[in-house]
Amino acid sequence: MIPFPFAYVAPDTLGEAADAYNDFAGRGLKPLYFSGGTEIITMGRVNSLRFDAVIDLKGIPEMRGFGFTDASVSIGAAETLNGVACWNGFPLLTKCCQRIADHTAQCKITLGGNVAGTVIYREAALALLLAGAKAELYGPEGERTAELDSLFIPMLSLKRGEFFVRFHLDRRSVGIPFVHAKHVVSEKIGYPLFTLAAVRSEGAVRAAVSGLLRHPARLRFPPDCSDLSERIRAQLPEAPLSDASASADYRLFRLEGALREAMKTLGGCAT
Amino acid sequence: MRCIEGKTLISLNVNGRACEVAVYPFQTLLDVLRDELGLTGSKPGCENGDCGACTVVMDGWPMKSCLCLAVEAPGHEITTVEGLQNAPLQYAFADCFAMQCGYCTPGFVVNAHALLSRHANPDDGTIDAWMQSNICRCTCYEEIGKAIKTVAGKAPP
Repeated sequence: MIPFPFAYVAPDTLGEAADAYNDFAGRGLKPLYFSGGTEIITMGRVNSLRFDAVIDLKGIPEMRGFGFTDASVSIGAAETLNGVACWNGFPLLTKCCQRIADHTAQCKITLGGNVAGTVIYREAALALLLAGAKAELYGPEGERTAELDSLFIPMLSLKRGEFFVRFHLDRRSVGIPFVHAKHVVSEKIGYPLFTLAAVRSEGAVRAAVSGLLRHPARLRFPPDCSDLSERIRAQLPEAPLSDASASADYRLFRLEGALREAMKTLGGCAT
Repeated sequence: MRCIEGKTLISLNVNGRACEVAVYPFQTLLDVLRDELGLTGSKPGCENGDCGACTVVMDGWPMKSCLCLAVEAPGHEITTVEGLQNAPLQYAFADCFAMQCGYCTPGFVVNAHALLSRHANPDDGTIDAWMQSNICRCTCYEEIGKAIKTVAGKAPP
């Protein structure tokens, strides 16, 4: 039970969702968009998050399903992580989704919720960033499309009342060879020290890492990369996290090893 | 558009039976199953989505009922451990001694039921991937795995 009252709204259209947001916000109340709702429910239960209304987006048809054309793929933001994994149209995204929380939670957590939530790991975003996904967004100012990468500056930055509707990808990007590695202190389930996803494209190894910083980090290396440690440090916009799980130096040490393995797998040099 | 601001009557389909219950938006499905419908088989453990003791099946997939608002549940088919009475899986858990204190057992049984409904003969990796959603502090994991394998390949679970 969440220890305070709030309203529950389930809109049928994108417009109704944005209108509901405006309505509550206009009355000085705090609405939250809700899809899987796992983060909102758990944080609300312990009073670390307060809100006056939740706007449940998962009944909006535009936010569900998977689309294919000859050139592109699109994924509804309200699809569950388990739904994305069962679809398996983008194997790197499948892998990312299958290592978030646990299998039962994956049946509730949604793709858009994982990318837009407040938990820093956002592991599904790693695959979408490496694939150059475009995000279709909707909000009180209407709809727009933006490169997902451009929304992380460096923290995820959406306009007031805006939410993810779908993610669009170039079809060529979904079959690209990849490496995915979730590094935890122990056990398979649990928050990671970091999660690494890497692909080789356009003559370089490109990597996206979560758990290292407060936001996903994007790294790029020549395939014959040497001085890996220095190159990692040079590309980080801020100091790595240092907490009870691991120091910043230990995270970097583990990341360097993981990257070296990834580069070997992807056919690059690992000196 | 559905808007619920206070206590509201909703229709639920639980264990194949339709029922109406008055709920607030702040009540989780776990609260309503236990406190309003008297279905106390789903256990409140961590109530944080970690332990899996409250697992139910929703439309054929496992769902932690502490992570679901009751107002999200109308229109979905819900199965609790009470809906699995006399299922071979329950006997398999008993026969394999797949429990000690028993508090986590309903969650494991329900999750295993969903697993076997989706994968009639799951391999070890699939069993591990699904069962990692549940925690047993008495550490009966080996026996739980054996119980599931006892029933695997024999329909229905």
